[in-house]
Amino acid sequence: MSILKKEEIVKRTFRAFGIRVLGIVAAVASLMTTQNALALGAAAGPNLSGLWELRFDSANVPPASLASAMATEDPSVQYQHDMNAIRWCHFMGVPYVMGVSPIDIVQNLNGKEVLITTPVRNPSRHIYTDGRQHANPETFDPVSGGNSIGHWEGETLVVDTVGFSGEGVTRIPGGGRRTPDSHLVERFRLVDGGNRLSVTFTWEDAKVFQKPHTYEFRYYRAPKGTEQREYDCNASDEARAKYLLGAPGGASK
Amino acid sequence: MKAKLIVIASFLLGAIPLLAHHSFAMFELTKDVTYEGTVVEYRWENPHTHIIVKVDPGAADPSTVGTWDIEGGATNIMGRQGWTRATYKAGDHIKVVAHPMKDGVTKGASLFYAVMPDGKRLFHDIARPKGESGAGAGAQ
Amino acid sequence: MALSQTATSSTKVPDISGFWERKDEFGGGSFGGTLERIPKASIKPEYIEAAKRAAAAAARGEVVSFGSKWCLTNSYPFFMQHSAAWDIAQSQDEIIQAPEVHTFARHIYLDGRKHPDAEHLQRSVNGHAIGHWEGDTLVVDTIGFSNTGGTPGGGRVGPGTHLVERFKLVDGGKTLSVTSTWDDPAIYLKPHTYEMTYHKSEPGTYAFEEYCHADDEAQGGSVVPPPQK
Repeated sequence: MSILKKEEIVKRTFRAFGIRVLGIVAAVASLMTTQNALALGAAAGPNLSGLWELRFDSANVPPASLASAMATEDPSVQYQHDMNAIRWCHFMGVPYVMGVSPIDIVQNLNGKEVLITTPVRNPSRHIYTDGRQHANPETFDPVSGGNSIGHWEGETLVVDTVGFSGEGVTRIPGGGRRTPDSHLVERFRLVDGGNRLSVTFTWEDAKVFQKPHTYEFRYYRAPKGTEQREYDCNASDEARAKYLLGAPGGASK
Repeated sequence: MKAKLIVIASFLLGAIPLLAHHSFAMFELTKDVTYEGTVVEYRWENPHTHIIVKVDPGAADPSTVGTWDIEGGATNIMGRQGWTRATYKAGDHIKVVAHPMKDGVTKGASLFYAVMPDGKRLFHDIARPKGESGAGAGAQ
Repeated sequence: MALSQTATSSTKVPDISGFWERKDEFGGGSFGGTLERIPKASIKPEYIEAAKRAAAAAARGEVVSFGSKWCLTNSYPFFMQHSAAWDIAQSQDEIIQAPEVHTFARHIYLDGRKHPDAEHLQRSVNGHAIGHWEGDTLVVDTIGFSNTGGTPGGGRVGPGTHLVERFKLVDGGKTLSVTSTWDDPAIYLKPHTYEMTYHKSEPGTYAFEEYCHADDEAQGGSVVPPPQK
């Protein structure tokens, strides 16, 4: 037998063995899933889990190109809407909760969901990454965080959100506001060796924007041991209400 | 400090209010009455969904004749049981089982479940009739 | 970016993530009935008296509590008794319980950290929760509650309360058993232990939001007798 033929036989043998090993690994992985077990250790792809802080140089927010009705709206309309939401402890919603530091991201080990929590009293953001489509708009009740589905494009988590309500603080960084017709696409990716989390936000809403409005936050990974606070809200606190809805510098009691 | 005392006071108002928007003491929770009629209004909202039901004279149970406020739960509670904002609309026929007010006068009741045309029951929340499990195969 | 390097690739833990919901396993007849089988807590006489006064107020028709009317934050373990589903997200170093009601997500830290000392403890409605796996059981230890509130079985939560929970999958992963042991010498005559079970929600389940608007007068009310036409 020639040397080349022997080498070919060796290669084929190893290839077959390798395929068999892969098959066994796949079977074990399948078994683990069906037995509700998760393997700890190195993740297969990017891991966004952790606490992420906004710092003085985190935001890159250009002005939005607003539709004419929005551009000429009295600014006090948006201001009063948002202050009212804060005064009455409504759910703040998106995008507000992405701007309260730190956010806490827990990326499910099973790959089916990414959860984002906020220090303010607000439901968590649920980003479903299990392959589902958006909820049926005929029956979905619009909510302050919308209905978010996500998928990975290489190292980037692309999140698509619709189904927003008008609840909460609706102003958008750079101008405009979130409405029930808003469509938000976010792109999450780790940068700077995993020390920073880049999130670009692109809003579309024909009644609000002349063209899609994009801005970016680059969060910093919070120091180890950081914990998310609870910023509680008490709508019965009259002094608090008077401060929020009154003229700045007014009486404290 | 004042706010904290207020919170404490609120939680001392018994176990049931902790689990619901309000006390259910005003309803006869062990009594199930069937109201069958027409939807006047279907208000899908928090803290409670309200279904205004008109029961015409000639009803099987004469005590149910009149227009009633059938109070359901929060939309997320009801939604988890299969309700949506499109389950009913004004003009629909409706058959609900509910717990009437203890005073016997106020035309209001706490929703237990609705009976759909195909016989399926849509419950207000997780509670099921006595002895009937809401878990396991075939549970509704 | 890899997960923590402290665990080896052969370490496996149960997957308790996903939506979980209470069901009425025994036919309670009403929501209150679904909690009747919880053993009663053995609490100090002054707390029993307070509960009796509160029940009497409710029976007199004080329908909506101050806390409900003003949408005050629902403290732990409110959402664990509620009819709403709640979601668990699970990473290596943290588990989050995400409820739908007006409260905060609950953070359970699994990275080996200890509770802060008294000087540095930041009290919260969910308390400071740390957890670790004992085989297939997640053991969670919580202190540092900021609010007071009730627990299943008529117990109370206070500043000195200590809670130990054991989360375990049963029934092939379709059910999550949570055994809670509450202890507080200022409230309990002896530790109070009970088990609650939660059922895995259907695939495709998504979270709702239970909004609460204190500025809506409906928040302070109940049935409104309709006009009789």
